[in-house]
Amino acid sequence: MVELSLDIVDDPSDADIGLVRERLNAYNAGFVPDSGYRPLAVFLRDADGRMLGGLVASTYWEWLHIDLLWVDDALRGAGWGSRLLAAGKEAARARGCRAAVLSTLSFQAPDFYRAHGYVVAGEIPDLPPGHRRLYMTKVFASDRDPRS
Amino acid sequence: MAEGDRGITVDASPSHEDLAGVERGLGDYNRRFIGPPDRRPLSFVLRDAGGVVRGGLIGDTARGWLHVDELWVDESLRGRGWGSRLLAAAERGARERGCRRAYLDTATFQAPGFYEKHGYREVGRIADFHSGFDIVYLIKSLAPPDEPRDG
Repeated sequence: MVELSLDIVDDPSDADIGLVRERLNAYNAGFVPDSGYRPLAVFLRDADGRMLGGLVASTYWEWLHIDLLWVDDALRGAGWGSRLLAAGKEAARARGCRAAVLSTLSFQAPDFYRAHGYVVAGEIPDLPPGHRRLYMTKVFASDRDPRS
Repeated sequence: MAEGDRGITVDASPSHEDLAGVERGLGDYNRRFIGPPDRRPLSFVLRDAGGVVRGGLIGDTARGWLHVDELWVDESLRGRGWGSRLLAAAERGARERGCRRAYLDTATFQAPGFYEKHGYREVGRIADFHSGFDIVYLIKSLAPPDEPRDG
């Protein structure tokens, strides 16, 4: 048997991290189809190209995975977050996605997502301390559903 | 500024610069509630005598929580406790940084049983995520026995 050692890396190389991710993906591929991972972003900019908001996400396994959604303070409450979310959803549906998943913190936007039809799939209390982390999902309605 | 001066664009291959712009904006917002970020990577690699990577755990610590992002052990080495040793190393490293809790998610074709055996408990689930598997969210208290276990 090959001798093994647990090599503790506090600041691992990109190559090592890449290899571990790659091998885990290869393991996953034995159980499920290729995830079809693709990045997806939606940006809100002013006429000068200045970034005023954005949605950073990806699509894989026929889900839209939303990582970040942000709108500049000066533009809050004017519906830009909803427009970013809607544009992300439409782009995801065009890629064949049927649902969306995200996590949000209790001081961020759980009520915003609830208003857009998201439901809580799980919750971690005190992450970060004094707040909560919520995992939320939404199954996209069919094209014929006017609420979609 | 008139609303018409602003525009929404969908980007399938966003630049690092644009992504960083959104991260910065959201980071500034978060800072008001929870202060500056304190995230630090915490990763471990299992190497054989020839230096070949045969397993690894990629994680990070932030705000008193360990997050396990990826855990993988080469198939030829499964069932010999290497996954447990990687997880224990991460938990020990996290405790040394003052972390008292851990969280992660896994798929039902991966390792929910492994994590439950190591003291993780389910706090959420997305049933039939894809191809019949579920996504499971798990947490664990890392507090030593003489401390209150609140995870």
